[in-house]
Amino acid sequence: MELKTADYTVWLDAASNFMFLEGAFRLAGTESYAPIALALDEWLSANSEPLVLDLKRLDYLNSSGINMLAKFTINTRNKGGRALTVRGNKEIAWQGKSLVNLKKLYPALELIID
Amino acid sequence: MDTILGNIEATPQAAGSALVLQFDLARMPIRWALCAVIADFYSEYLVASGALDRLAVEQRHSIGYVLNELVENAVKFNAGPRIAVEVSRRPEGLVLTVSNGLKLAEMDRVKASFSSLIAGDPGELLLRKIEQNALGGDGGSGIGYLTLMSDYGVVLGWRFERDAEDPGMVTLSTVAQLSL
Repeated sequence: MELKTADYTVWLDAASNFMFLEGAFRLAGTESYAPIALALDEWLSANSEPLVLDLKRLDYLNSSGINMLAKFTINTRNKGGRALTVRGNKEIAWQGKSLVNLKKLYPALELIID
Repeated sequence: MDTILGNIEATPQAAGSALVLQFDLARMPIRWALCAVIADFYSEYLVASGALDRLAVEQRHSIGYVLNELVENAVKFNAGPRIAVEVSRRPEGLVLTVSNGLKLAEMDRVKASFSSLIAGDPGELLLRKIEQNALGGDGGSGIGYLTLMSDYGVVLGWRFERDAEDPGMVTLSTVAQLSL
């Protein structure tokens, strides 16, 4: 699975079950994020393995992007508490400021920012 | 009559340096991708001009995020002929102001919407809004301003000014005070 545009890449490493979100998510509103949200939801539904969302190369995102990540977190929480790890990069300021909201939405989520 | 919402000054600060960009949209439209370009221009400019520490990566990111949200909102909701962006330096930080046109008929609805954003703890309001969004609904997420206050510690306010040229229009200025 791979989504690739000039601004961002979303791809799945099926062997490790890591989903990588990379680049800049500054898209115009919720509807522009629909292809990415769909890919995440299909990943959630397609297997029962622990999920790892890797954001270490996601340099930018806007509030609609935060909303999409939050919605995916809630969907995961609502799937019987599926295991979800979010990996962030402490060098990218928005991650240190906003990713903690995902942990508040789903306390069992493992958040690693390093 | 002008109206102020939030904890901002009643009139724009005259003192201090300011960098203003005004877009006459008939001749200089702002495509969506340009919102980020404008936001990143300001953060890079502030570093290059010496107003910000070159090493302050976090501050640059914060300015980019906050300004991008303000410009995106102005572009999304603008009903007037121009959009203006102003960044001024203060001892305690930066004041980021983005102005756009609003129909007078929309003003009361918009005021009520903004008032609800500053009526409680922004962190709690943000999580509540995100949970509501997850239940359905489409269009805008409505969390942009809440993320500025909750995650970036921004003090937010809005100035509504009657348009001297068009009695059916109001100039809406969104003012974000960012401590650095």
